[in-house]
Amino acid sequence: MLNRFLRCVLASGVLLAGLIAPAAAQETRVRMWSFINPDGSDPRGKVLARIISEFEAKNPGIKIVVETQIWDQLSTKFIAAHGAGNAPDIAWVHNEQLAAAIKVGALANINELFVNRWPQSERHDLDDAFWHYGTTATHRYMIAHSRNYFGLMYRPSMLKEAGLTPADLGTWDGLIAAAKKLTVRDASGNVTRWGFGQSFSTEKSTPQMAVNIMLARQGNLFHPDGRAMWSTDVGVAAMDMQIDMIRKHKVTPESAVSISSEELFEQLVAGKYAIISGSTVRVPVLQKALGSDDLGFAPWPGDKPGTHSPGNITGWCTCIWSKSKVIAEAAKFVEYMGSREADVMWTRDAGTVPIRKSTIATLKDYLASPSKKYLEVSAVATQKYGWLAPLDYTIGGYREDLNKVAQNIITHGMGTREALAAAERDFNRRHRR
Amino acid sequence: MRLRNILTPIGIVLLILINLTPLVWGALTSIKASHEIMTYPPVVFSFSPTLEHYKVVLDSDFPVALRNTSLYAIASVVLGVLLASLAAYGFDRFRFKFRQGLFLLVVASIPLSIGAAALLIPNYLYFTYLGLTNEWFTLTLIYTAYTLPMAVWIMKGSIEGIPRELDEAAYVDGASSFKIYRLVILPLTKPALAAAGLLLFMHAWNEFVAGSIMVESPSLRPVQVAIYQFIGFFGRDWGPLTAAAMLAIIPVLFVYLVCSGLMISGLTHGAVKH
Amino acid sequence: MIGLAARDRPCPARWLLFSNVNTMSQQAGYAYIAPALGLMFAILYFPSLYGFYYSLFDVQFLLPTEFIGFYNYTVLFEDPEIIATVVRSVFFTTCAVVCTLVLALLIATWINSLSGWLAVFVQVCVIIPWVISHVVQALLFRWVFVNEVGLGVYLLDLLGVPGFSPLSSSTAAMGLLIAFATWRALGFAVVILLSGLKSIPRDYYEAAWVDGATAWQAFRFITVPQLKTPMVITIVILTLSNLNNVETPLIVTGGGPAGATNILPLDLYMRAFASFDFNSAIAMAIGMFAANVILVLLYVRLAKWQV
Repeated sequence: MLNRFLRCVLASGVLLAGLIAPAAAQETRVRMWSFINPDGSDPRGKVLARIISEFEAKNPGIKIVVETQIWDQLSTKFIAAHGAGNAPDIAWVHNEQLAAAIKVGALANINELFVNRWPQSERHDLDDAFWHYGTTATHRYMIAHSRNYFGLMYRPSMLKEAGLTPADLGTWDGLIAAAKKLTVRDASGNVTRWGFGQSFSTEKSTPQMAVNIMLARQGNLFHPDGRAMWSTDVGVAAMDMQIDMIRKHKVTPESAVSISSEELFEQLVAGKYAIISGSTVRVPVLQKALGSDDLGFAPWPGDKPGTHSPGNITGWCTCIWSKSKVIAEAAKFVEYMGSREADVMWTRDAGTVPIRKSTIATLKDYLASPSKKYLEVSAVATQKYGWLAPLDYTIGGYREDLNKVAQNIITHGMGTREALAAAERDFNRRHRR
Repeated sequence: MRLRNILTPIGIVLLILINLTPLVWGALTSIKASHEIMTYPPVVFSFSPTLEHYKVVLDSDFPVALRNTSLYAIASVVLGVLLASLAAYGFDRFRFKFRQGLFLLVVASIPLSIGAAALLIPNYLYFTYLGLTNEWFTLTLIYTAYTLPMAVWIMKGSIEGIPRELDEAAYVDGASSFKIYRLVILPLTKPALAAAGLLLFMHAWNEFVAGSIMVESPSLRPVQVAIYQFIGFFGRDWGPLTAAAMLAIIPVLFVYLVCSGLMISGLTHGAVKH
Repeated sequence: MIGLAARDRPCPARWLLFSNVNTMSQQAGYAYIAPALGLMFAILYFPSLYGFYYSLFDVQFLLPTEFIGFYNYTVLFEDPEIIATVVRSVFFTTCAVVCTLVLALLIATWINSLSGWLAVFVQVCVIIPWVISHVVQALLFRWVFVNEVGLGVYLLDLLGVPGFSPLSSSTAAMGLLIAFATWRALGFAVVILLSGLKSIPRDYYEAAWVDGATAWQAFRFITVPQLKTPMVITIVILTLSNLNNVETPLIVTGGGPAGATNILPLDLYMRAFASFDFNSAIAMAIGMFAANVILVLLYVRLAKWQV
């Protein structure tokens, strides 16, 4: 009796498997890891969902499955998965971890996969700092989406009220003067609105102005061998300028040592700050939180009028796993995600910075509207005043180290050069340099 | 004396109110329109409530995550309660070599789950090599294993209190050890079963780290990870975030009420007269 | 005698009754504990052993490469700040556990004296912080009590305490962290202690009252001894939880200002996921794990708790 039962179960199992297997075999599944959720209700999620459905319509037989990951784990998990042998076919790797991904051999060469077949015009359309990032003479590993540019975010209404324009923020002295004008005190002398917001927290640190001054004046934060280059005269001057915003000019509160960058954005919206160190990728979100377009973006001031200090650029690199079993299909999708139609959708409907020159041309009118101006500003700034993390050596933790310097100076009263030197030692020791 | 009788309850009530403030604030935030959430001075009453965030949350894949975690948690409770009571019975009623050592091992492994985040990367590699990641049973097994040491400890504490005369009476009547377990021990440990079950459910519901690392498919995602989706790369979306968090409390509160009822009623009924 | 049924036979020493089960009781014992121990071995012990093995290698890009023995550990102990971090962690954990225990005992005793729907309502009020998602809880706490645009700061401003900024001073930040840790764990401690309280038979208290004991004496000589097991459980769990929890320091204080609230789990997280220094991170993880285990065993020993 039991035997017969078992035999029935086995038979039906085999039958089912036989039915399902051919059906499954006809469809190629491509797995992608991103932090964007196509089932989500945010604009980027909706755009990704549309890109996927249009791609699948054009390519029957290929199915794109997105496994949404938590963004600060994604890159690390991908590298671990590569080591364990079950990485996804496509992954969005943060540019500051691209070096690691390349070094372990996790990334396929997209030159061979599709770029070499492109006409020169296509390659020119995408040509910028990101296009050459991580490339060698023969190898290219990614197309960068969801780019971010760090600079100044401000409330245009508050600037107007104080009789200022964004152009006044073009030099460091101009910024300090503007911030002083924008700092509002109440009757008892307590500050109700600060002119300039900074964040020195070590939780999800963002680069603060000392970084950009150092980049402008000494070109890099690191020596060619990867050791930190912070306790130079330039570094000391830069850090002093940053701390003087609190100490001397009193346009930044002391609580900058512990405020997180998230809270800085939120307090800008709540009206506690007029200008903050921010980034472009947050502009649409903050506009929504404000309920209006009263949010502007400008690059960091420069030492000379008409120039700007380099701002940090980051981006998410869509890469293909070198050991993917469906590498051709994955390549097709990566190519489509970076195509002209797709980029127009990304810019117009999701509010991301355009990655193609043709997109800027196509959407000229859209980009001219005041609430969308930040897109053009950041596209231009990325081209001319941007700094991408170097790939020849790992630099993990440098933002936290520099923020800790600010904390040590303000809270413990350490000397500037001493604090910078200590941070250099920490960084170098951690990276075994 | 009288003053103390009045002050203590007042002090405690105040404490509880302070306890609840962040959560009440969260509940209020979940029904405010987006542009009224981040204002200064903060708006407490004068806003027009909206259910748009709840709609956003329910339209996303959050309900799937709620369903997933409910299934993981229930399965974890059933499996955990079964395994823990069997093991506690074994440890208490039987004498075998290494009994004390093995039990100490169980107790010593409580930190292994609480400190699990520390061993994240090797854990991930280990589970991947075994092919245990991203399956329908992955999280159930992990959640059960995490709370099992505590559950065994609680069950053993309860079984210790059941007099052996009851076992012997049943044995003399011809019952096997399993029958003794089923008919004598289990009914008398109801409060401990409820406590262990509550802990198992709670830990399965609230666990975040394993849930984010060990499964990838959106169809297997647990509820805490789904809530965390609203703290995206683009910032914290407070409206849907608090709405999702509020929705996620309801099942746990329900389970707590059921279990605490069982725990208390069991305790008053299960006493054995000497 | 032999003809009598088993139940009518006179019983000599108890062990004789089980003597014919003794040979089977070994196997039966193992059989009963096998499933639970099997699951724990597979999911808890082996990964930890693998973690230890992993820590003996030079980890490059998350994968073990060269075998370097205990080099990672020596590098870790040479870090000048590690002692300070450990001291801070011990201080924080001790304060948090003591505060939570005392408050939970007070609250549980009070709830025990209530009845009906009021008792249930108060219980739910105390439980809710334990039940809500930990990350959201920490974020809400920070928003209400720390963030300058939060409700707490606003109310204090109205009450005449302007510029409340707990994270600007080292001591205030540590106090805030302890307060949050207490708040977070209160629900759990109350549940365990309450169930312990409810299992103390009322007769004991009645007998004591008849003998003329005061409330405090009843508390000291009846309540506290009877609560030994729940208190041991609570203290162990709270200690482990506070010693290892990352979200608490990460979200509430971010480890600031200037590292004043940088405790071990946060340090570990930062090494692994901010600096990507996996070598020292895994050494620290194994070290903490070993310390955790020793702590549990020590405590159980100290409480003279018999198996």
